[in-house]
Amino acid sequence: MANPTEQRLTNQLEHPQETAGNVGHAGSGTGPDSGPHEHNQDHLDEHTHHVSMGTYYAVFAFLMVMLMLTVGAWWIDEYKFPLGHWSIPIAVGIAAIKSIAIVLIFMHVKFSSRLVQIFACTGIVFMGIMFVLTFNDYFTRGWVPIAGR
Amino acid sequence: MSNIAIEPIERPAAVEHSHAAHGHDAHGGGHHGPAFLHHHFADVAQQRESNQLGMWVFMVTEIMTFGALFFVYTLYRHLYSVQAYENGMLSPYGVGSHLLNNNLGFTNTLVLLTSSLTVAAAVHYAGLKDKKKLLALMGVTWILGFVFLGIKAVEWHADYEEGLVPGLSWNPRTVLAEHGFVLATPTGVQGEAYLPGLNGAPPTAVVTEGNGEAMYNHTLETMKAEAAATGGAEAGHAEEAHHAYRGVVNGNHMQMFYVIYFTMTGLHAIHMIIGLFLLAIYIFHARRGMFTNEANDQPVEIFGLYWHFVDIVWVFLYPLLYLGTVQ
Repeated sequence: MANPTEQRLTNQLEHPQETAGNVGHAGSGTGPDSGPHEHNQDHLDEHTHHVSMGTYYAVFAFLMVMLMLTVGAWWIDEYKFPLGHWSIPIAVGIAAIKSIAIVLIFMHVKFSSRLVQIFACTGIVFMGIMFVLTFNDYFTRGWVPIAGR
Repeated sequence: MSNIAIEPIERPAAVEHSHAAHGHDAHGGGHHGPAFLHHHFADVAQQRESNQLGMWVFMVTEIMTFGALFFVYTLYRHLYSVQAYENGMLSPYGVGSHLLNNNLGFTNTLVLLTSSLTVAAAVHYAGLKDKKKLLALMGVTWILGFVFLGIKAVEWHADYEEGLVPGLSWNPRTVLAEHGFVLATPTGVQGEAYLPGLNGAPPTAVVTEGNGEAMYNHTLETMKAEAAATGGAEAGHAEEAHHAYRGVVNGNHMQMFYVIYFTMTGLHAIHMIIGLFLLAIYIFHARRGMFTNEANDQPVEIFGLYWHFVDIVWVFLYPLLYLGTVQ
């Protein structure tokens, strides 16, 4: 039960009288302030510290390895044998793996609510739409004759 | 889950009780929870989730901003590489990358990734209410961010000196010759008033490697003469630096690479400056214990999201701008 929202809702189901967020009850702003729910909040709100520092160090080490891979791929491309069309996909692929590690662990998206996870994906989806549609335009220009031109 | 809502609630009693409680409440308006909890949130966890969501919405717009620039990068890289290949010239992106200082770019990547770790750790210790470690980590992050901008400034200054800044200082002929490249301009590689792929069909003479090589040797001789005139030691140095002839590059197309380079790294640097500004304010607040006294670590967490986002942008910028190869 890593998800804070689900945790809160479960708590509401199990202890409706004491849990913040229920209408007319503690913490909803419509009921009286009560002692226990402050304790509940502290208990529920353990968001930023379920990842241990060890995990962060591991992610950082992984990022360093990936950085070496990026530079290694460039070194092979420049001095050993040309990777040709593969050099850009390799570089961007490694960068994408690095960003996924940063987004999931450093930015806590892995431990966030489903809604935040969906929004985190939204950016890349809309960027994909922008790339696909705009390239559609650029690469198909001149394919079809236009009257008057 | 709708079960919660329809469970019987003893309303009159609750209302009465609430009235009595509010009589003694100095804040009024049904204030609840710690001071940093806004009244429209049920609890701290909900406020945290809303803050995160809001920051992600902002970052989606940021992704689209940078995404448009990445699109421009990709489009012109494709168009110019195809044109260069068709005209027997070098890819302007490859040559442009070659002239950038890869060591400084690599160092900057290292600095920024490390600062991402320190920010993640700062968020971690803010959650644990460890004021001392939070302050130390924020300070280290600020210094790393400043070092990044300092290295960037050194790089840009070198670019300016070498004549690689479009609009301000654009005269890359010398630095290109030092690396074995010849610049093709709209007046042609050898003043033939023909630039492959730019101004119409080729006239009688098609640009060949020979043409470029002759031009290159000419530039080389001029430079050697200049160096000899200024002093013997410098002449020897200049001779050493000169690379074997590699090929011709379209100057206008390479200028576009540098426009994209300065736009993207410039926008990234603006984000870094804003980040440092915010971080300085947050360090000020952290010193007064704002994030650790009441367990209000949410601003630190949201700032962490911003910093990581800026880091991710650089993760993509570094290989795309610095690690191009001349083929």
